Amino acid sequence: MHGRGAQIVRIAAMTTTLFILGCDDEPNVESESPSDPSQPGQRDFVQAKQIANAAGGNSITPGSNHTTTAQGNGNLDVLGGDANQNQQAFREKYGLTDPTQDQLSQWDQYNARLTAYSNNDSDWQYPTAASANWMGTTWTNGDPLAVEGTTVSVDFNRIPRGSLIYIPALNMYAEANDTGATGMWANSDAGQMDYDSNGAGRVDVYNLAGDRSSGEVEQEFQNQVGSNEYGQIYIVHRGPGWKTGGN
Amino acid sequence: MRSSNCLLLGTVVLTWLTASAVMAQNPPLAGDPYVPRGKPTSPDGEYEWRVDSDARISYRLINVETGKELASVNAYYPEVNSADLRYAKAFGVFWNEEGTVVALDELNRRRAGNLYFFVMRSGMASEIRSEKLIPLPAEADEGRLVVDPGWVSPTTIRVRQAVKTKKGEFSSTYFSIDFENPDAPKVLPAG
Repeated sequence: MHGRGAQIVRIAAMTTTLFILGCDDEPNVESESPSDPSQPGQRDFVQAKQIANAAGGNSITPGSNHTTTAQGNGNLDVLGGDANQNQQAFREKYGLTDPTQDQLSQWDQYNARLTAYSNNDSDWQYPTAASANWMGTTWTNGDPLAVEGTTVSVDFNRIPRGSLIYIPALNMYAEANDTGATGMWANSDAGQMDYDSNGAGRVDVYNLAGDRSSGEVEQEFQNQVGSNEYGQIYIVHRGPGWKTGGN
Repeated sequence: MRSSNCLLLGTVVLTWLTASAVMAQNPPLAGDPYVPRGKPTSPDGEYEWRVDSDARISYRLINVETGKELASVNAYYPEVNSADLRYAKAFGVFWNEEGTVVALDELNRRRAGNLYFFVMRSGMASEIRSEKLIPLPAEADEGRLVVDPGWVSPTTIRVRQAVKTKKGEFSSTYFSIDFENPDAPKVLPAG
């Protein structure tokens, strides 16, 4: 990112210098500068909603060993920004509470690899989620806005888009509304536990990096989650029906 | 008056150069990321890359006049729905000036998507896997090659390898690939 930015600045500086050197001192005339066209947002958002509503399917089987996993402390400060407040608002909006042991035993549990992804990743300059999020807000390019504390990226071939999941290590409910690059690595990850028969694959948790580098975000996240990335998740509801009380 | 014209011309050229540099990035540094990059039609207008969504989303290289398919690759997100189609249509196609080599570069979305090279000979297209030319380093957890910014000579294209390591570090390394001998493209580090 910085390398590319510097390259553009160098090109601009060199070109400007060349033209200043090449021009004489006669009086100038004002010129008009073009304005940037605004990007559509609402149309894409409606489209994304339609996609989410049409999604579904079951492609993995839950783990047979239903030993319930210990819950985390529920402090999502590590995710940056307003993660704690967003998680609280998410729970209030959809009536979600800390799960009981009884609930956990009824939900489908899967092996997963919990990793962080952050807005400081230069190859992810604009959040590009693939389905509408619970806040219903979009970026200027029309993609749903990633929300720290509730947005995760999953492999849609394993977890249907729009699903509600629960991550015990963070005591966090999240909406599976972004695919990122998780699906791309399915083949190379095939031998790992998060891609075995009851594996949910990579689950990338959105972090608002702030002043942190993406490397720092990753490290802090791993310290919080522990167990060398691998952990468990529960799929509370497959697909986006939980938002409307449907199935 | 000459001075003002000169400065105006300079501004136009500067804007064009800057816009070209920005638009050639993958992902684009600014603006709508779903705008296609490059040009799908070969310099002589004989061939064209098209997005096909009949059953699965794929890219097809066709002879414009005959409609004959010369090559086809699946899109990274092949399911036919509007989101995946929008992603597929945001591809970049970069022909060299003689139309002998073409790079097909899907939108880089957190290192998702693929870069393909095709060598054109006698009306046939043969694919060269970009990851065979420049493999991912062993420490890479995620990574992909993207065109950045494009052809820098009639036979040489510059690319960027974006990597996220297993330790969570991020890096970009630039390479030039010289297709002067298309049977044995030469890869060199690029600044």
